[in-house]
Amino acid sequence: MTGAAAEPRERLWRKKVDSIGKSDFEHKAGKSPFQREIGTAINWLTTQHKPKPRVLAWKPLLQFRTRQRNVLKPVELPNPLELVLASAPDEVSRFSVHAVQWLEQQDERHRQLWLNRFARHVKQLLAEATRSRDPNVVASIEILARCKHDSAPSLAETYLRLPPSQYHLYALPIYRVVAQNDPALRANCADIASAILESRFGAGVDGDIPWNRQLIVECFRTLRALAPSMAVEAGARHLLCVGDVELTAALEDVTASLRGTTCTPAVQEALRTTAWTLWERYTAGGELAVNPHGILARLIELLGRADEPHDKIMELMKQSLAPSQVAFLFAQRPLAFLTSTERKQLYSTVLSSLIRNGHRMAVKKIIDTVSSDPGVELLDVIRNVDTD
Amino acid sequence: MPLRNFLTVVLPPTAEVVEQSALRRGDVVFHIAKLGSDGQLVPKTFAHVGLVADDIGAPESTTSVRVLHMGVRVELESWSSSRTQDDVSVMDTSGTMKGIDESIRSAIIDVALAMYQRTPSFLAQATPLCYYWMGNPLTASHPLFPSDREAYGFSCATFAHECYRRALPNDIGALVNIERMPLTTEDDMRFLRNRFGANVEAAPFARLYPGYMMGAFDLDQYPFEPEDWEPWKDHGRYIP
Repeated sequence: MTGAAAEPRERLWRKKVDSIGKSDFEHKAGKSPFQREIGTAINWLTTQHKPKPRVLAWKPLLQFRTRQRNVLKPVELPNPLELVLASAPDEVSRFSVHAVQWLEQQDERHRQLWLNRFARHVKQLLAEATRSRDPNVVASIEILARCKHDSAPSLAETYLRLPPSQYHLYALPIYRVVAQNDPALRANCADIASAILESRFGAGVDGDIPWNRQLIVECFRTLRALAPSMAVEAGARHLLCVGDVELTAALEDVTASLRGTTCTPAVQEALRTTAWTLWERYTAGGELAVNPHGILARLIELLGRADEPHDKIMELMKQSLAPSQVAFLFAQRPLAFLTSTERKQLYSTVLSSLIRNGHRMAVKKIIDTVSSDPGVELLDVIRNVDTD
Repeated sequence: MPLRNFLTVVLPPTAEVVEQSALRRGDVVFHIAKLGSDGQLVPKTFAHVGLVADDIGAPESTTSVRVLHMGVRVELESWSSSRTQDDVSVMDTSGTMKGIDESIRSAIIDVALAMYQRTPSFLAQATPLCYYWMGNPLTASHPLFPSDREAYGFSCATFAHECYRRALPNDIGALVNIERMPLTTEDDMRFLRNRFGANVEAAPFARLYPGYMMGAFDLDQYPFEPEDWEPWKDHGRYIP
């Protein structure tokens, strides 16, 4: 054996000796061959049967064994995930996207491992209820939801049960999306959305804050997707307090919910009262609103679906702020709640009004609409058009 | 005058110019220029498009107008008529369709507002363009948000175009004949992916350039369908 080859072996041997400790060395080096043999046997036995250290990797603090035995260090999450939890609010978005990209690069086993650990961190952060970390918590929940991790629904629910903040605006759609295919979660999410909506109109809430107005739209959207009957009830109670810009979207959600559900006479009555109040508001001073005609058209549909008589609906179109524009928009909404005779009468009235006002392009559009309505003959409609 | 160019200053403005410059709800506004290092106007790399939400008169030096546009999602923001701040969109040109009536104007804004302020998202905010989608317009889905049934995907131009498409009668159809537009080249796709990342269609697609929409208003031709689409891609042609 050459010296060069022997040297690494010597080093290896030294390492081995160092690793088993000084006492072992003494057993081997300073005694007779028999004693050395016995000493080796004792050493072998003690090293093999040492009690194993406790594995603490799954404790809430996420500690794990390092190479040095019995020394426990807190687990550091891989940098991209750690940054989501620790970053300043204006950096959260950037780091969230980076974290998702990083997770997508991991193999399935490791991704699941890191997501489990990440979820535990988020849960702990959530338990601390430090509201200044809300953006980090909600962004983390969004990452977990995006990766379809099991913890996402419960974490989203826990967060949404905290007093509303602007980050509820982000958390509610996350919960809505993950709850969509689970009946129990759907009910939970709808209850939460309803409770948030109630809280937005209470005393001491500044209704003019932008996130508050947007959160109201998000609540209506969630109720429409998960519990249409609750959306109708909420509409009856709260539509009057929704801001002008958000009212189109909120009314769209309530009218769409009304199409697929039946409501009690009490709710219908409340809905009619709300719709009439809004009607008066928008016919009296609607010129300043951003979409008065669209809002009035939706209110007519809402009243019609809440069992307001057809004659009254026809009358409304003539009274409104700009009759031809409101009637034009109303005629293009889903009108299955009207009989084919009523629809025929409606189309004729709308066409008459548009022709009188010289809205030629709109006339063509209504003719397109009538042509696509299987229950109505275009010729029947045109025969009844009154242009005088 | 279907296409009004606020970058070409007429001094003193005649009554006719003032009348023709009036902005109406449903008009399309374009932000096409920025100040170069030498103080001259140069074309923006990507022009921005929006829909005027209110009736206002002729824009003066300090006028701002509420505009519905596709940014991170469908938003309502003030656009200015003067170039005072970098982060505010400016109305450089505007288009109004000849023969458009009040009912169609109302329908355009109604379509836009029904989509207003859709679902916010942390992940989406940083992409950086959320539901923004540089590709074929998506009215009820988004590839980056497959589980969100409320999603949609538009660029600023396809959003404005979609609002018009839904409001206009079938015989006009739309502002631009998007079925006849040329497909993007490999170079275009590389350039778009560099700018918009994952929010770009995977395969070559018919890109709706704001220049096409301006061309439609300029020539008063609907749907716009030129023999040669190439020169209309450049919105810089409207910068004096």
